[in-house]
Amino acid sequence: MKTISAYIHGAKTAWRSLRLTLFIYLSYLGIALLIAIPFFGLFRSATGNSELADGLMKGFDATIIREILVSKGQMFRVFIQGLFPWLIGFALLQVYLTGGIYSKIASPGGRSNVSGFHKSSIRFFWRFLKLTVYFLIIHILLGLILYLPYLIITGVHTNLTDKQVVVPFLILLTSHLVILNFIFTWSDLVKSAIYEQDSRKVFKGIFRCLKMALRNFFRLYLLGILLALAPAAAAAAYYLLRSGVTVDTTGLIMLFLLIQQMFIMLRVFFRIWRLSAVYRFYLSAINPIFGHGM
Amino acid sequence: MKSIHLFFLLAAALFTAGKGSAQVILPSPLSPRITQYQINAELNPDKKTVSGEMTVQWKNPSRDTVSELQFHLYLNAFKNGRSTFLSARRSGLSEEKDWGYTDIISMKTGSGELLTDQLRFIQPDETISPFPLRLPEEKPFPQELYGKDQSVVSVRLTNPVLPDSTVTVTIQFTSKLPKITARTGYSKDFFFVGQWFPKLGVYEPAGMRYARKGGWNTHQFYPNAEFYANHSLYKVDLTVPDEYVVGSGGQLMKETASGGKKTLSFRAEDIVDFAWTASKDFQIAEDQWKNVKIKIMLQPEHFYQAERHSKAVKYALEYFDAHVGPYPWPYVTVVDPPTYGQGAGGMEYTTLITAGTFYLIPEQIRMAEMVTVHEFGHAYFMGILANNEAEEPWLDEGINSYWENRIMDWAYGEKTAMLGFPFVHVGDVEFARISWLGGLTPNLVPTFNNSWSFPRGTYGATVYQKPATMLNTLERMVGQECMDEIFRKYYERWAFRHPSTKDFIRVVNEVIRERGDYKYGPDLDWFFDQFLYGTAALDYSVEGIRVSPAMEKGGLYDESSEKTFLETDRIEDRFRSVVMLSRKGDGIVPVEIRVRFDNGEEILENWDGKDKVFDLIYERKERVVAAMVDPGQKLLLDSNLLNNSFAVKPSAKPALKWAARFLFLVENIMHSLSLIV
Ligand SMILES: [Zn+2]
Repeated sequence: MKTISAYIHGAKTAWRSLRLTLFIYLSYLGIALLIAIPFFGLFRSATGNSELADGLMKGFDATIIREILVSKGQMFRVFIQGLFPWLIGFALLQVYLTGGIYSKIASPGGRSNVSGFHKSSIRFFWRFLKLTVYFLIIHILLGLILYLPYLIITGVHTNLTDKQVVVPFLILLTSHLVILNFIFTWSDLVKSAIYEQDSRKVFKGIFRCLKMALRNFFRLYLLGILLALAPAAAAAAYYLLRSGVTVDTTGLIMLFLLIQQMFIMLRVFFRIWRLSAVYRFYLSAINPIFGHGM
Repeated sequence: MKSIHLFFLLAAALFTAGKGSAQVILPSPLSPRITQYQINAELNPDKKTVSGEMTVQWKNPSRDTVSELQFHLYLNAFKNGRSTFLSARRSGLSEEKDWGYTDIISMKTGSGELLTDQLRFIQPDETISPFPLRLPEEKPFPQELYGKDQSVVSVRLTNPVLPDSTVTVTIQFTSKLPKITARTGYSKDFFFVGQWFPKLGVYEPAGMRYARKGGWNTHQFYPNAEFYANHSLYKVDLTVPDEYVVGSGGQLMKETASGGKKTLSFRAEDIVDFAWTASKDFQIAEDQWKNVKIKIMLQPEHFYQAERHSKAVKYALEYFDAHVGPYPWPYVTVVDPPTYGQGAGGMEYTTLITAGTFYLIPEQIRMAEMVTVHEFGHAYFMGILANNEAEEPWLDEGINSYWENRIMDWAYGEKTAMLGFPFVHVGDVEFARISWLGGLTPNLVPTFNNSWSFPRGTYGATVYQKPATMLNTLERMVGQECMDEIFRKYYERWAFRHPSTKDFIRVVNEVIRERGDYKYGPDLDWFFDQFLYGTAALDYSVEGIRVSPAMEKGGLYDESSEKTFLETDRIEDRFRSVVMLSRKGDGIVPVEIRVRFDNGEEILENWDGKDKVFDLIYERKERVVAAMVDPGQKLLLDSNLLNNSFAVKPSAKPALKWAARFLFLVENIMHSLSLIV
């Protein structure tokens, strides 16, 4: 019950936060355009006056891509290398936006002004950044625990069949996904706790919330799965749509651009849904009143 | 494919022997069967040895009196680090049990005369320096490094073999198999037994291939090098422990068992080499194409992929039958080695081939299919048309890669044959071109070269993908029908003989002349001289298009007794367009150019491609807006396709489409980073 009500509450909050969704989406779009517009210029100058790239209108073509990369690969390489600082910037932006999102989902009907958003973003930035670093370490440790023994064993035993190599890997990969679902909801729980209690003790929060997550394991785990369903369905729908159509006219390019942008907006929507649902779950766990009704 | 009757037969043990008591496989011999082998050998799985006795008959095919026989003992290449093979290439052989060799214990003639004392190892290539480009200059073979090779043995005969007469030799031998190296040997309890018995070289009479006078053609075993042998008759009895499943290049005629062991009697006709495999794990699937029995010997974990293999074989059978000539044997066996025996994968012994696949590999990744089609193709190029693989490797690998390209693209799609995912895909023809040009030095050495003469890193691209791309180019120039005619004639004339490169080119030129299609001249020597014997690089380019107003040809003109002055004015509504072309490589091929005008009209021009720069000039009402060399994309040898076209106003659509994709990708990455927050 706690799970379902948190799930529904999250959806409702996200629905009431469409302006926030739009705001976050636009901030993505703005930054992405800063990169994509130079890419457009780069592509044009790489192909120059050649008509070879026209063949790419039909879709992927290994020969054409090879020709462009062989002649002008250096240009693309420099461009791609230049993107790495941006990646760090993106990550910091995500950390920043999270605090603002909480200010909205904590009072869905209430204030939703821009200055409130930024105030909250700034207030929680360092705490969420610390949390991100801790969880990054947890992810690395998990990776090492899962895969290091596997790599050592398959590296030492050269007499294994491919099935003996592949099957354990697939089992590990599945286990990893199963564990990730827990870790993601756990980290959302910690964020909820930090926000709700305005706590500065990030490290302590991780442990407290782990205890809480384990106590409510099945309910929380189910919530994680439910929250992953809609994004997975959206991704599948987009893939099916995309693989059914050859985008070869300006009209179709524009149509798909629109669909792609809606997909990104949807992803932002799902994120707000997720954070809000787990936040609600957290509240109901510390205060049973939230577990009932809306 | 029409008939898809697949009969999977799980076989824990071997098949029962073929029906009845048929003593022969083919209605009549397809080759002169200069050599005939009767081998009786036993596998010792613990010691990794195959030992036994063989009797070989050799018929002197020449007008010479021959007083020497030469045998290959290929496994001696893996005996120690001083062999020619291991001097040139590092191996994974380290422990004592890893090394391999063939020991001749005794040798005597049919009349009982002992020859063992007459045996001596020879190094036929003592004066050839391998890898010439690595050495500063041609030097004699450095004896201290290379002089100890034992992969060729010579025996002097007291009674020489007269023309057309036959000598019989009986040999006791023991072969210790190496840990799989160069596609032969053992790994755990999997055995792939190739090059395992003393195998006669080819005696080339004067006039055959490049032979000025009669003599044995043998070479030390080199890395990269494959083999050369006469089409032979093989009768082979193999004894193995009961639990082993055996496959071979022969047809099983009889099987007997006693004392925990079984003896399998195989017979093979008109193949150039006899190899076999044994493992406890094989599971067998059977299929059939017309009268050809297809047997797939798979690892248990790959058994579900049996149909992928047999389909590939059937595609190849059908295609070769339709375009080159019949496959004469009534059987073919495909062996799927275990992961730990991958080193045995991708090898050809005419009627026995090895492929290689992976557990759970998606159907869109067609490595297993490609290898199967490729190795099967060697039944034609090497098996039936038995070239000297060591001396002219392109003649089997290059030509066979061309046919592999054709069959794969035909069977699995032109742009999807190798990799067939919706958003990432590549065909086999284009894959060959990309792999060839992907090397750092695609034209460093000629394709026509001995297998031991390729400098580091050039062998694969120069012997497989470049000649395949060369023949794919030729096919697009002369047409597929003409190519088929060439190969049908090549097959008819040279089947079960030993063609050389010049024999192949002679057939090409004959067909060109017979067809009377002189578009590229009366012969194609100029083509092969550049791209097979030479290292010409092909690259044509449209450098630009210049459009200006057309002008009157002004100046002073004689008119009756006076001179009239005409001004150099621009002509109303007329434009002068210059299409600037250039040849950037040293390769020369006649090339077509498509020119497009601003009214949409397109014209096709021809250029002999010889000049370094070449202009097409038009003075007409319409302006030239675009030009493209080789619009039909026939010249796959052209190393740069980006410069093949020039548009005055190139379309922005592709950049828009890919920038939109890129935008989406960046936004997705940005969003995905929220997962770690
Ligand atoms: Zn091959």
